[in-house]
Amino acid sequence: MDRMVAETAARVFSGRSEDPAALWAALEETGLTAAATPEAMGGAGFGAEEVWGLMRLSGAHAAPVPFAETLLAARLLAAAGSEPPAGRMTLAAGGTIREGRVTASLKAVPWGAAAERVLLLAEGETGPVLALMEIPDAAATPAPGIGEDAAADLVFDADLPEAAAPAPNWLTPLAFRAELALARAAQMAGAMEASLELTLAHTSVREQFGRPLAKFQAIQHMLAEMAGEAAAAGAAVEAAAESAAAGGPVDWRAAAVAKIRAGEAAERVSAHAHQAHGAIGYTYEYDLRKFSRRLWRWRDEAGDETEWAVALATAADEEGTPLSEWIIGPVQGLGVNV
Amino acid sequence: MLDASDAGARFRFPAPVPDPEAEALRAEVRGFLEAERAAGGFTPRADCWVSAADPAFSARLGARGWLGLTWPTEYGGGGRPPLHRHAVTEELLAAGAPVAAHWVADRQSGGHILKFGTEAQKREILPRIAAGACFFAIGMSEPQAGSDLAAVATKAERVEGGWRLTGRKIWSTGAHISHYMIVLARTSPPEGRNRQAGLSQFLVDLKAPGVSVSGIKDLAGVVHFNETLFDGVELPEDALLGEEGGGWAQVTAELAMERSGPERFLTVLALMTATMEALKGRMDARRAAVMGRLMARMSALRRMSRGVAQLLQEGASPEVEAALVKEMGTRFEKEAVAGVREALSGLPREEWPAGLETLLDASVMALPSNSLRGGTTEIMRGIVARRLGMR
Repeated sequence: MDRMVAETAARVFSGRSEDPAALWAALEETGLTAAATPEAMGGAGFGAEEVWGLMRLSGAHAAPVPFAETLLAARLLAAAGSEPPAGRMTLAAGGTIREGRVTASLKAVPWGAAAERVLLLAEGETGPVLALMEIPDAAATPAPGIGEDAAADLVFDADLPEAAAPAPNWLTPLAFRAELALARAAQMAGAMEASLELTLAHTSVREQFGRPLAKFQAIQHMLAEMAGEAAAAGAAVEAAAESAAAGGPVDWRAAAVAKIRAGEAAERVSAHAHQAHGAIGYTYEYDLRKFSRRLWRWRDEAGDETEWAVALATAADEEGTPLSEWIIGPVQGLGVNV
Repeated sequence: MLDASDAGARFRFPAPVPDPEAEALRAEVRGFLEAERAAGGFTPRADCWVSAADPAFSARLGARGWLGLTWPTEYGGGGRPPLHRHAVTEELLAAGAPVAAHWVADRQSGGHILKFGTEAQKREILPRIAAGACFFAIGMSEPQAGSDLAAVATKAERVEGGWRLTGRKIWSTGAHISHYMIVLARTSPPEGRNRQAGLSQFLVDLKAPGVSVSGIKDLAGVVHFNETLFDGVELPEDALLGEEGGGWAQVTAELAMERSGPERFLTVLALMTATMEALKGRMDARRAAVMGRLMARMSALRRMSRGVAQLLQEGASPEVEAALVKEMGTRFEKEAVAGVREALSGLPREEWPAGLETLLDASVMALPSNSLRGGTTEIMRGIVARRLGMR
């Protein structure tokens, strides 16, 4: 990711994890909320690597706003030829469109209670439609959840908005889920990097038995493992984002790899982070909570490890190509031979 | 309280630069391997880079110019970038080809000589390695010096016209078929508590008088590693490799090269491929859940491994990244064998395709050594922890 962009974003996110309004204002002011919007539509026109890189950063800062969702919704809207509006967006697959009416009942949509609009990939009469719906207060009922993401159940029975457009051909339900899965994987990679940093900082100052925890080999090995897991998730996310580098969709298999790998890593990283922190890490006041709770939520969203694993191996089985071709083949290569 | 504002990737595994030439080379190697296999040149082997030695096969690779691929052409090398070599090694490993004879020489010894050797040493040895006609063994571990490598007791004393080498090396893979060993020996006493001082490396001709190599059967009953005894071996002056007393820095660089390749996780690819074949028509959610996770883990590791090659290509020294990939790679190999067993459960061995049982059994028996050789998991984690500033 471009260094200047990364630095600007880090500055904007920094210190605002408890202040959604200030963070959102700063994100809009710097144009970061329009990062995925093409230049012709007034955005920054960043490529996939930058867009998912920004999502990763938002995860590393436990951003309390629907930033990743807004970027992804803008990316999909732009792909459908619609100009993304300003404001907070979230997105979900579901709902049907019949005779100009949208009906949908969506469970636990992240930021459903905080976003102004939700982008639906709904079933239209002649194919999938991207419908950007305003969320009136009456449509949202706060949903339980551990992700600190203002999730809400959303119910719609409304006129089809003018801005609705047929989904681009490539945007199948699987592709939609893969794009969202990669967003979550990217946020998880960031959250794991932050968990590692917090754990490093804690173990280097917390002393027991007369020396910092970081000097104990058992602790060193836990942190080395955390670093490896976070790095593996990050590498898988980058590979998947690169698969969409040319402006097309993300290779769903590469997104699956990223989501599986991030989910597996989250298990180890959060367990080790808490173990090394001791009781302080288990308090609401301490920052680790923000990352752990998000990790535990995100790993289940947009397909958990098992769901994507079944999809991957089933596809490989049905296709019949030897597995070695899938992994290192010049063409197949799970999106890594870009 | 920390704001985590410094959070960012601690380790960088950059995207491999797209390279049609590397892919063309890959296709060429793949075609060669298919032809070899069809002609009965080899059957796929687990752990092939350690235990499947075939000097004739190595010579055929050398004849095609696929050894010493990254070295300058003036020394018989291919003058190609590291990602080309990475593509070739991936193909060889995925096929389970018998590459053990030349593996150490091609992976680390040749590059090591290129970096630290004299002009004469380079001209004498590198073209022979590149031809697949000269094999190397590693001379690091000793009976009393394993993870604590600075404890080596093998000694090289200055004598008229050269050196006299006394001591023993152990776990030296392929020493029984190798021409040379790069031996780490003490040439002067430690400087106070600094045991890393006073070490040097030597190019030792394993045919020299006073050298005796005896095989050690591994758990599987196969001899691939050895104990090598140096009983007052007379070494010529020019046997010294690199700088006298510079052995520790050199051996550290050599180990970085030793750990940087995809062999630390890719050798189970043949096993996973055969498992998918066995499951054809019998795939269900339980099996797919297991195999899909393995696919994801291997793909992520592959990306990291190619990232290491890319870093090498950029001229960086990715020894910590390599240690990380090795640690995760050998952990993955154990998970892969466990996963394959789980996925194959319920399918009687009699119904397995030919070769799968042998591959699985060999992989199972190789597992304990994977996370030991080339530096244990514990040493790798220590290297990573040092980078994290904990040591």
